[in-house]
Amino acid sequence: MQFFVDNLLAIISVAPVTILLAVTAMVIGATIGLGCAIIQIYKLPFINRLVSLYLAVIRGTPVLILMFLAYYGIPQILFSLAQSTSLNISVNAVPPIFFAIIALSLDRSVYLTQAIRSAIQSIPNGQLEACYSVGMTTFQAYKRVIIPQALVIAIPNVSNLFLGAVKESSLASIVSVVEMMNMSNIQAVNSYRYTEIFIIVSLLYWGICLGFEFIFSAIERRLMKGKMTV
Amino acid sequence: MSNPMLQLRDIHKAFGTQHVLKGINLTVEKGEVVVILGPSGSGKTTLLRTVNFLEKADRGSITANQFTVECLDAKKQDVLMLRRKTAMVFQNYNLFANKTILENVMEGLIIVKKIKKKIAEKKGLEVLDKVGLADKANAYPNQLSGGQQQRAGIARAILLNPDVILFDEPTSALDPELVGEVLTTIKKIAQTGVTMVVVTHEVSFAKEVANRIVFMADGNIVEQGPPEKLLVNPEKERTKQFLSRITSEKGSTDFSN
Ligand SMILES: Nc1ncnc2c1ncn2[C@@H]1O[C@H](COP(=O)(O)OP(=O)(O)OP(=O)(O)O)[C@@H](O)[C@H]1O
Ligand SMILES: [Mg+2]
Repeated sequence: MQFFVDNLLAIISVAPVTILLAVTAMVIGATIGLGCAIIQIYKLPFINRLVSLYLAVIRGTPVLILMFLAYYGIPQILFSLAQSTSLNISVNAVPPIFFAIIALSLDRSVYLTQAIRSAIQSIPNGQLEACYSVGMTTFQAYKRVIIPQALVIAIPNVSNLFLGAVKESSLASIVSVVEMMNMSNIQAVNSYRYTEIFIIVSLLYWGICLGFEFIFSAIERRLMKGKMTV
Repeated sequence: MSNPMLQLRDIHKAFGTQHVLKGINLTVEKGEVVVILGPSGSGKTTLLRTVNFLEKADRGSITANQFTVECLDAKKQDVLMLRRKTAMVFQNYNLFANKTILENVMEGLIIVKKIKKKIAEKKGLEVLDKVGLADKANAYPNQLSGGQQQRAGIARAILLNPDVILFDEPTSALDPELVGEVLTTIKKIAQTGVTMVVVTHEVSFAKEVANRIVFMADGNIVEQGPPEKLLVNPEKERTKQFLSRITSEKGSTDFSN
């Protein structure tokens, strides 16, 4: 029992890192995703092709490989950049969590693009036309009417993607980010009680996911209240 | 002496190979209520939509209260300006689903006209009172009946104080028992001297409020004139056909679409 509690507390102590990874990946991913979605919806010439390529490449790359590429690749790029410009950029100062966040954000951005795009496209065109008819610009229309409605529609998908981000953040352990998975590994190696430890950490992941699922459905219920027509 | 609020010159519009508007010329005087009648597919909706650039005409120009836009080389700013001089009441209301009724009518004042929220709120409540929706200010659109939604749509349009209000079949999506309340509202607004262009199939309503009826068919204006002339004693064969078909249908409400 003492063993259980000790390990549980040890792993919980780094739970904020796991949550930080998931939340930042979702926020950055959603920002990229919103941009990509709008480019796709408006079929902006040329850049639309770039977006399609970007989405295809990231979608076809395992997150684990994105993680390695970010971890080993970005420092190299920065290093050669530093050499060629003789700027004083020190790669060693960058904490590994930075690279993990980049990898997770890229991965999430693909699926968030899809979720956001389909949500925006499910808003009846009349909503945009009504905005135009009162004299709003496209930007105003999106900001005040289209995006707020699309977000509500996107919540179930976003919720799933967030839970995915929580679980995928465990991959950050292999680039030496000390989040829940990495901490479990450390504890397991020290105690040789792998099975117990991994049961403990899986219970924790499960609990976190359950909590966030609850939060998301509460948000959804709140926002849906009386609002959407369809 | 003549003081046109809206002037359309040689408006053309095609969808692919289908020529939907074939050179429409129309002048609407200040305070005039013009009703457009015509068979389904004759281009009435398309005409209204080109006026505020929800559809871009292929040729022609639009003048709203002395502001002229050449459709073909309209700049973004021109389009915006034109839209701010006109307002549209949609067949299916198109209220902002994520906003309350009061927010719906205030939105344009706050975002487009940059009026302070307090003042906008006061004006919003006033206009809602005018269309009989004061008690629904804080409801969301889907909590309202169709007739109430359409009255909110009308309130949203008039609050912006546009030079012209365009109505596209404002009652054709409504249950028959709700048509009356909306038509009454429109009549009331017509009496305040607002310039209006109304597409409708309600002939008796047209007879009552219109200063002039414009009959459209196949992308052309076939004939126009005051209701007592055009409805009773039209000159063109095409108009007679249309009117006899409409009056032979039971009642005057058309639910095609
Ligand atoms: N976005 C569009 N794309 C292609 N064709 C269109 C489009 N909008 C309208 N049309 C066509 O243009 C023609 C005129 O349509 P419009 O909606 O203006 O007619 P209407 O006079 O309003 O008819 P109704 O009385 O049924 O509302 C129709 O044949 C329609 O199919
Ligand atoms: Mg129509």
